[in-house]
Amino acid sequence: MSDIAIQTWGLTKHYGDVEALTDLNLEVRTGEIFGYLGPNGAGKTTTIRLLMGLMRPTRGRAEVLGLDVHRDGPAARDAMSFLPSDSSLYEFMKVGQYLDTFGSLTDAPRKRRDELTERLELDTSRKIGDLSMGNRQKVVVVRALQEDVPVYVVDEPTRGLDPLVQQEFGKIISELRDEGRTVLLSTHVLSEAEALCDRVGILRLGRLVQVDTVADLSVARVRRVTVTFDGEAPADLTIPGVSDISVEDGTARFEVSGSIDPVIKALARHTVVDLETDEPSFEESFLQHYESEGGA
Amino acid sequence: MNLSIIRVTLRTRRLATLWFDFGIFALGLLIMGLWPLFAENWDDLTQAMGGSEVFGGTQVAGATAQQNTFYSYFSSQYTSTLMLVLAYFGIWFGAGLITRDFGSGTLDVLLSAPISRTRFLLSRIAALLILTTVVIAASYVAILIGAAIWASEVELGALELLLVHLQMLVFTLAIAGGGLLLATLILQPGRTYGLAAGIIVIMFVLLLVADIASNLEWLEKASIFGYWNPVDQLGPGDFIWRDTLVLGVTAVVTAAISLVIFRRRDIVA
Repeated sequence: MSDIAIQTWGLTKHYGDVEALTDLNLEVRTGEIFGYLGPNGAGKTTTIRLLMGLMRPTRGRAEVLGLDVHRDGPAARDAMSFLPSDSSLYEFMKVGQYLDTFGSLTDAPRKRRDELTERLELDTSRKIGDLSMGNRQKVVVVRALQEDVPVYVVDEPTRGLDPLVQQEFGKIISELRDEGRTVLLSTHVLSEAEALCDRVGILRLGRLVQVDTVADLSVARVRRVTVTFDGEAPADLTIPGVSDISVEDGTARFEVSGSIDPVIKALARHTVVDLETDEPSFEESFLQHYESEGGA
Repeated sequence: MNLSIIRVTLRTRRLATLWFDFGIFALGLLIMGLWPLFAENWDDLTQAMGGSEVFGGTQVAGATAQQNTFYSYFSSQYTSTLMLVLAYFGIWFGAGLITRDFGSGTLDVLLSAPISRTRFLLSRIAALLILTTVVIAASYVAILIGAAIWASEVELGALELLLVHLQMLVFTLAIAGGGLLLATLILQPGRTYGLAAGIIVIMFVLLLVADIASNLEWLEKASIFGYWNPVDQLGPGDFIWRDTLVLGVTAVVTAAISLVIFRRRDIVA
């Protein structure tokens, strides 16, 4: 099998004057979970729709396991399973009927489906229209993962799932990777990418601005920290990676770029009553980082 | 053709089609069941209408007076109603072949299966053909049963009735083809159904105008309803191919253009 599962060359998509994706050169290795990160409107979904043959590129091309996604469309799609970000359900069907219906298109193995419904605690006898948002998303996840294929393309898969189910989903995805399968995981949730992915590509305004390992991703990450001290906050909070400091009475607020370890060590010299870290939005964390590096 | 896609399509439409079948079957039986009552009072009704033909006076060449009386009744009470029902069915099903799944997001999943778009759409059209045939068959069976029970004196031939229903089938497919063509161009369900319904209303108005204004008779053939004349097929001997052929060609051409468009178009989220 090829070392590269997904590859694009100058993949570009314009909608009229709008450049949704520009000159994307991407390599996703076989047997890895590749996080495709970016804020809403960055071009993630456009890339995925181009890969799935739902749209034609303005220029450039893409291959999945050496098969051109347009010229060899059906064969390329035979190697992939797709989990779209938008709802894709027949509300009038029961869960089991729905999974049977779509499973029949690709000869998805029944055993795999049963295992997934059990692990995600999905009741197949219920009508989809009666399900909560989280359970609907479980149906969509099982529908995509029940397929026995080498490449999974999943777009915002954990939206609406509760934390325990997200955790189980993470385990399933990791198992797929351990079996040698490839997962392209599109998300705007940094913590999800950090927890699951081997490498990440960061997309902004339709351009791939960086491809990193997850370790590099953690270094680049920006956290917002609020510390409440016992008494007045210390006057000197000069710590490597800390910026945007504001102090009010006994509370200090600042942002930490990269590892949080120096902050923990510096705070250990004081009596801390409370400490909160807050994951900023994608825009606030990564884009600040890459803009400051001139990467965007 | 892909059997799985045909199965999926039939599965998602079967309940609605069943209701259409039931409604058309019941309508057919009702109209045939009422025929003896109308036949008995035909002269009184004619007199009450000032001596003119009661229901528009459909005349079929070579038919007896009694048969023509039945044809007038059948045309005004059944086929005219069915024309509108089948136009609705055609729009709903033809446009829905694409827009329904686009609206629910399932089109993305269906098109991500290892099937070419041509095979996908051909499979959907095959499902349309099956379900439309089932709907038309419901009418055929109802009229056949009704004729045997309540109109045996009219001597409706099974073959003539089949030709009547053949025209109904191609009429429905022609409208469905138009709906499908709009769907491949527009994709969004609301806009597609709205535009298709608007066009159908305009065509119906054209038919009415052509009927009222003698100098605008030519408008009749600008409307798809101008090719709807199923009762004319009931005459002995001649099947009037021309109108059925026009409807059939319309169905094939619209489906072919839809295929060409659908193969190339972007499915934008």
